[in-house]
Amino acid sequence: MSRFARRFGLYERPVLDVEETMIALDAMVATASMQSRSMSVAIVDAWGGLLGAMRMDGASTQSLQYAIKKAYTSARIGSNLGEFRDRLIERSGIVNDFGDPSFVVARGGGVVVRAVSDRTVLGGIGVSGGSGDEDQAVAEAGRAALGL
Amino acid sequence: MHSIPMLGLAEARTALGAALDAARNRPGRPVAIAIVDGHGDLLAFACMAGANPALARQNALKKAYTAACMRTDTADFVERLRSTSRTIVDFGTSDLIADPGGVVLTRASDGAILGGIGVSGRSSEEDEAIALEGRASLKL
Repeated sequence: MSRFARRFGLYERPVLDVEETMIALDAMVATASMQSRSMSVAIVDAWGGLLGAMRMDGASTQSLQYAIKKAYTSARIGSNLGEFRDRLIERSGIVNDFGDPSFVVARGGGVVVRAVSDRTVLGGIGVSGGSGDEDQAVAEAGRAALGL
Repeated sequence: MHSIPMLGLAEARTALGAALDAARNRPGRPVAIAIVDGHGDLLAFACMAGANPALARQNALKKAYTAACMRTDTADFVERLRSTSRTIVDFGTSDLIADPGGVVLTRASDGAILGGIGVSGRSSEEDEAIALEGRASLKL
C-alpha cells in the first residue's frame, strides 16, 4: 500500500452509542438536580446531528434549543465553547465569519468530546439554563461520565 | 386564570427508556426517538448509532410533534386524511408528517393532551410498535 493510500484511504471512525449518550444525559441531569437547577442538556455527534437531549421540569423551552446549538458549535468547531469565544475575542473575529447560522457564542456550557486514543472528535455536549460556570460544570460532568 | 397539565422529565425519561428497550429487543435498523410536550416542544430525545442521518431524527421529531398537535396517533391521522380526502399540504405547515410511528400522550382522567412520542428509522409499522411500548410504560 502506498503512503498516499494509507494517509487518505478508507478509515474507521469511532462514534457514540446510544447507551453512552443516555449515561451522559442522566449524569448531567443528576448534577443539575444536585445544584437545584432546571437545565437543558444535549449531545450531538461529530457532524452536529442530535444524539440525545433532556429538558428538566421548569427549564424554558428555549434553553433546550440553545443547549443543542451549544453542542453543535462545540462539535463542529472541535473546541470547548469558552475557548472558542476567547479565540474570537483575541482575534477580533465574529461568529458570522464561519458562515454557519447555527453557531452560537457563550462563555460556558459547551464541550467537545474526543476519543482518548487519537483525539478524534466524537461529538459535543451543550448545557443551558444556569450561569456560564454552572452550565460548564454540568457539561463537564457529562463528558466525565463517558470517561473521556 | 387557567392551568394546564405538563409532562415532566421523569415521564419522558421513562418512556424514552422503554422505547429504547423495545428497539433493542426487536431486531431491526437503529431508530431515533423523540418525546415532546403538549405544545410539540422537545422534552427528551435519543438516537441510536447508525440511524438514517437524513430521515430518522427529523421524522421522529415530526411524528411526536404531529401526534401532540393533531391530538391523535399519526396512524389515525393518516386514516383521517384518507377518509376526508385531505393532504398534509392542506395544513399549511411543513412541521407535520402523515406517517405512523407517532403516538399521543393523554391524561386518562380528562383526556388532556400531555405530549407525544415519535419513532423513526424502521418501517412505519415497526416504528409505531416501538412508540406504543414507550406509551405503555406510562400511567397517565
